[in-house]
Amino acid sequence: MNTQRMPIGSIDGSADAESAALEIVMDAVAEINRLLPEDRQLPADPVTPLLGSRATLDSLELVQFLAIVEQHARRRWATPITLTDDAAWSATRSPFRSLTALAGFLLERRKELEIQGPNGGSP
Amino acid sequence: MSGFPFEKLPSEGDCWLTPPATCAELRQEMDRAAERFREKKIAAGTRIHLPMRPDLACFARLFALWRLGAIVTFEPLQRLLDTDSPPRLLRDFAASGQPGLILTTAGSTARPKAVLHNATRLLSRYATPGASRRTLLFFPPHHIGGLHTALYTLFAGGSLAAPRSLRPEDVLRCVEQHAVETLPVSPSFLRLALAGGAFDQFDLSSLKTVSFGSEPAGESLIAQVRRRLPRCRVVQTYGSTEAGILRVRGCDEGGGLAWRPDQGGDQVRIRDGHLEVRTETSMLGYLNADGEDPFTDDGWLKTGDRVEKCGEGYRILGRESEMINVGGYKVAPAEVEAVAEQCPGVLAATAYAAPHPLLGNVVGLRIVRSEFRDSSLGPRAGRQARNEGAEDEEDQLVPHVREFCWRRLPNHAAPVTIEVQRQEISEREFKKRRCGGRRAGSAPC
Repeated sequence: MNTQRMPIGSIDGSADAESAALEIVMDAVAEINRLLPEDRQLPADPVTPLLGSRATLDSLELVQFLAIVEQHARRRWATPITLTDDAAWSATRSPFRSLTALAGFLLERRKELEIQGPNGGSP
Repeated sequence: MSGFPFEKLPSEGDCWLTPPATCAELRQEMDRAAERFREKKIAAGTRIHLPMRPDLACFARLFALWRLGAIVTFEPLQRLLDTDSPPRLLRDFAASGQPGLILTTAGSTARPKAVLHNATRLLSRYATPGASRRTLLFFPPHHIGGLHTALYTLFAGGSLAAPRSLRPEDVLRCVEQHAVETLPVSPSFLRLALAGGAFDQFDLSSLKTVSFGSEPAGESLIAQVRRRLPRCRVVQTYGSTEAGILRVRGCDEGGGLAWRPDQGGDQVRIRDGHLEVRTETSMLGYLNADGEDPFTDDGWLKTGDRVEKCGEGYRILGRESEMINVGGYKVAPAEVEAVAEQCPGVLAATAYAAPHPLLGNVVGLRIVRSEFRDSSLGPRAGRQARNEGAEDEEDQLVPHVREFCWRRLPNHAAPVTIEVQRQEISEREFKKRRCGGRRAGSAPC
């Protein structure tokens, strides 16, 4: 999958931005699958769940996967994005319920950073 | 009389190389210093602050003070404890008239601990002289490693060379200039010297032994040093501010990382995965760690180091305080580092605990890229990669390291947060700093 860097610009929730976020997630799926055995590959399907009874990743694999997503996001957008803070884990609608939800959450975090700056709003 | 084994110091030959000085000069300087201290009413039980430098005059003063039965501290004691109301351990020891030494632990904890040693017991280690060698004084003399290097060498009739600085070029130039035979250093120094190519710049053929004991080393590091210095013994030793330096021998088990006590010398045992020692050189106790008893009921010193049996030897895994707790699993940073440092493209690795909301902690890893082995990364790496920016380095190396470690470590020990940096070694201390890694919104360590 193409992982050329996008110019840093406004993330406005456009189809392009959503597509970029999903590409990041799918790139991470390809990378985590290199670590997983053949019979436990993570399907590169937008509805694939990351948590719950139908999820295939165990907790350590999920943590690795999310770190890989963060790494790809940083590479693509040249800014550090954190997916694994308390808010993410305690959200009512978990951002980890599917790959699509994760891509949406990634975009959300990217927008927050754009508004607040990387230091959480400090000048 | 203090019991200080002054008569064991050699009286002939050279004892210092930078600048040159003889054993006779050391003795004369010691006599003069003792006279000055007597005039100042320094006697048995007196506590005195002696700032140490790596030169003959400082060691002459130290020996003179110990001959008088003084208790020497290398740092101002008032920074560490209430000197107007010293703890009973110190008062009782001062009353005994024995010479003493107060060392401080390195600042891995918030407040350094003051460690009281009986200098006579500490020096008993050197009553039977070891091999007489030209030795480089790498660690500062107020550090147990540097003090041991100096005492071992001086009592054995060897001679000391102090480098201008701890930069690899200055250290290895000193080895060449003075035909140094023994080089006690830290693993971090060796990594830095290898990374910068310093080993190729100097004639190191005089070296017979390279030893390190300040932190665990990885097998790949030992292998690299052995390749560079094929005629040289490369050995791991063991010591601590609290235990002193043990009489140990490096052994081949565990890729040369293990050591075992000399027969008839210090006693070691493993309890709950931790090293305990019983040795003449152990400290008497802490002076400023209320309620902390480092000794077991049967008199063994709890070192706080995690250790594993390795054939006939022991292999240090790291300090208990540095263990990374990943969802209840204990991970030794040294195990992770040893694997990561075998990964093509990685020169050095430092593992640390990275806070994580799900697992408590995960393993974080900082890596220093190898300048010499990029080609092993594949066609995307090599010279082209060296010329690209830091982000491209990360793009290529991080997934590679992640996969390499994942395949060789238990899943809980595989690094999650991986950073590439040009320089991970603290040049000042030449020890790995296992502080937390950089995350969004937090200050770099």
